[in-house]
Amino acid sequence: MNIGVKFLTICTFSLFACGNAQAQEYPDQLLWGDTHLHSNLSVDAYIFGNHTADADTAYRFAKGAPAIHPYTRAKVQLETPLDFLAVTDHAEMLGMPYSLFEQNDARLANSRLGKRLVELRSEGKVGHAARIIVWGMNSAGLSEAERTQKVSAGTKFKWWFAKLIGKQANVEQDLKWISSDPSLVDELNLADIARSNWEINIAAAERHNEPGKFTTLIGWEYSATRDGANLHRVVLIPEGGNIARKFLPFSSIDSINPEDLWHWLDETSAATGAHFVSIPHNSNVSKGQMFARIDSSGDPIDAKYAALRSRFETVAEVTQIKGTSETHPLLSPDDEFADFEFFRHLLEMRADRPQTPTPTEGDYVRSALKTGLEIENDIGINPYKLGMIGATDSHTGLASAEENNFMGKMALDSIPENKERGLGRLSGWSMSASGLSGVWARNNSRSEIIAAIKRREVYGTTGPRIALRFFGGFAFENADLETNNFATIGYTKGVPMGSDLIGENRSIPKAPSFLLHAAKDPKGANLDRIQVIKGWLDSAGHAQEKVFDAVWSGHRKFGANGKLPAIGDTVDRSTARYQNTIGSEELAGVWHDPDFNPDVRAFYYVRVLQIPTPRNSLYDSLALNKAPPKSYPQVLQERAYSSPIWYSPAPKLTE
Amino acid sequence: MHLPQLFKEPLLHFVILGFVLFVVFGEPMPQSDITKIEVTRPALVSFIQYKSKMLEPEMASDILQALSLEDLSNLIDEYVREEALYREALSLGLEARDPIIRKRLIQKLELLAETGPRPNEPKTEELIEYYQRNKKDYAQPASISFSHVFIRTSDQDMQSAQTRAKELLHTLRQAEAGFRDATAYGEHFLYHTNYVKRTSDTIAADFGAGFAQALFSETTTMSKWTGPLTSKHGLHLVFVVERTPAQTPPYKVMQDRIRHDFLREAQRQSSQFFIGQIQSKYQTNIAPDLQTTGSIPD
Repeated sequence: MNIGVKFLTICTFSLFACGNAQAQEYPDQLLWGDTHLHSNLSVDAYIFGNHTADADTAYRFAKGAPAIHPYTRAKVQLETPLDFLAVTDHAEMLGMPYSLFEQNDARLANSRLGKRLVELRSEGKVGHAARIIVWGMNSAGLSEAERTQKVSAGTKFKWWFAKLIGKQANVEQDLKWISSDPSLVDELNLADIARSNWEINIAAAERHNEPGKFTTLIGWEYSATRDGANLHRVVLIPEGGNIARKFLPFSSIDSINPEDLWHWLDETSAATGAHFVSIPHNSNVSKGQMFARIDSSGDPIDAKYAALRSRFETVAEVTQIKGTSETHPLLSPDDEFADFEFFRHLLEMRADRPQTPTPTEGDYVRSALKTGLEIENDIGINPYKLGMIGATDSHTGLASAEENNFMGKMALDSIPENKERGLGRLSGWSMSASGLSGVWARNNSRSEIIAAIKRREVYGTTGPRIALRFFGGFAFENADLETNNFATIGYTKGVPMGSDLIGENRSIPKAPSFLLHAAKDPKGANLDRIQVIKGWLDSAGHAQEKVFDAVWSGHRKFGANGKLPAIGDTVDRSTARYQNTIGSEELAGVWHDPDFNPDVRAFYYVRVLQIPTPRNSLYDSLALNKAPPKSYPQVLQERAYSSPIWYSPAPKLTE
Repeated sequence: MHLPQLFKEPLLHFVILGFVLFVVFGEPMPQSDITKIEVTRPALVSFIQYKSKMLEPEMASDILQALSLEDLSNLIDEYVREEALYREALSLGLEARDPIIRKRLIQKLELLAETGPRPNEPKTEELIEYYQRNKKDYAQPASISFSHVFIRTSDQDMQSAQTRAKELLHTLRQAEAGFRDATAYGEHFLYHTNYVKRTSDTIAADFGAGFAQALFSETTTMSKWTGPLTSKHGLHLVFVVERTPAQTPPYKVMQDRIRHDFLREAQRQSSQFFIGQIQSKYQTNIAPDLQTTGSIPD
């Protein structure tokens, strides 16, 4: 008998004897939270109607208390409280409209753009003001060439002159005006105003942090929008106010290049002791730039870049109100569930530019995981070893990820009538209530949650609290499913989601096995199936992907087309109610890769599908007593996405 | 003289600079006429140039020509108002010690320096020479693959932890445990058990700088349990399966980036040269108690 097999057999029978282990403290608590939420201090949140829901409201609401909705003024409450929350306002002009309109700050009010905003507000031109503000945030990403070319000197003079004789500018003129002169935004991006608003968020986080019960994470959003491409990141720290007060959030006005953000994180970390994580989001509207193969200067990613980036960016936000960033039907044509909550709008304020994203491999996390394998093959380090989380990115101060209790992306689009009408070109129904992060931790505290993000033992869901365990190892067997110490088996015989496995020359078995377990949201819908998504490098060094149905509810058999039949649909279209008469409450299994090749790099992650449930657009249209909107599905299959486990072949023996 | 060469002339910089100053500050004013605002066509043309930040006087002249009488009167009112306020501010000396005006003027010169001539396309020899000189900028970091068994020190003293580590090391070797078996031993670690192709920075972030240094400096033991190494969390027995030393990719692989960096550096040097020339026109006297060169008294 081979020594490896003998050892593993002994281990299976007496787990603790092998390691002579002391009492273990495995991460056995599943915490739910939102890592990305905006209060009235985010410039766009304020201008789109959130004047009152501040960080304090956000934390109280997340803890389960009733709160006042900033737009409807109705009392709102979460069905199930969260375990943690990060209020992450845009660092660009942090709190500017709040300080301008609520505190009447004289310097802001006397600035050129401040005057214009006050003027527009008094005329009730909110949409106009909103476009100015969002464009102001994004204009840091304009190339110098565009700044000067777009506005000819004669035009500039004409505007100045029109203003002199009392004529009002239209939106397009205002946008060009902002593009032509970066100092307009600089006048609104004042350090001491940012400082006092940063302090508001720090103080609220400190007041509401209760280790063991509820965790507040201090952070912000770096909102770089390079030429209309979303390169936004949420930045979080596990430390408290004493550390957060030592710096001011780094913004896209400081630099439009994410590399500069990471260098700043590196330096600030050394100077203050903050342990930052940076979480990219909405890669789906990044014009292919979020997970590109080149850096900001256009050079191919090298090992130095990969090491720096992967140190801070261990996870990506794969789902949120503005759609999914997992994958797209054009990128994953064989994935029958890829056509899900595709967000169709770029953050593009310029009317003469394309408004709809063209999906490319740089836009989605699954393709980033594949690109990562290819880059690792070339340069030795994988820049895209990304775990997955979900967050709301709500701008209402209210972290609600439930379709039947959706409080809007912006305060303004929280009511069915406004959603139908839309914000400019954007219908409220083009978005859905999503997402949340599940975090495996030993206790509910700042350091435990950030440590779990760093080791990627986290996962994202589109809202439901689906409990998900995913372990990879070389010794899992069906008998492991029968035990009542699932976690101990998982951690002892393998590694959890977010980890690495490596091949060994001397050992058998050579093929890894995976332990899967999913339980439905206690208050939610049943489960359809657990899928494993595999990515690997083929013999030519190109990354491939395949979706496997691993465990499913009921006695469904694969059809002639090689597909598992759909689960069915219990949603009543006239009442927006569903029945848990199909699907399973719990699914578990040990999965083996049928195509495993020990000599190639691969990753595996898990996707859990719920049975179909009503989408927010169905609830709204029924409430309006109108036909459901044609452009959006009436039901959706909510889902959970695990962080991957990576497999690397055995290192070549060079000695 | 070809145009690109013309742009290399320092003299031309000063000509452009002079023009910018002219546009910003209007025509030179005779001191005696300080209280007399002459509204002339050239004055209005340069006013329009200044307002619209355009360089061509012809365009401004056209705009002026096309104004209706009412608009012209508005423009003249505004010109007179600004001119009066501007002159009054100058005569009150308000520009002196104003940090914004000072910064703005410096910025203008810096901008001129930076947008100077575009450097010539470098020759391959120049690029290779540049690469040789700046090799350290192209060095790629070392990486390592290992698994580890963790012994907590938060709930036991160092000596008993060391003893336990020795016992565990023995057990691991006896059992011929490999990389994949690490999870079955020791205590649960806050971060990962398996680390694949990680650089020193990442290891330092999870374990502390001392551990990372110890792990990377020891380069002989492969595929063998060793340790314990001490981290900020406790003791670790480690099983290293792969080490990739730091390396510098050859010129061929990096040539696009090298060219990019070379041009950037050339631009920076020309800007420094420009600023240096300006500085050389000034004599600097440093007070004796601020001398930083020469002999420093003990």
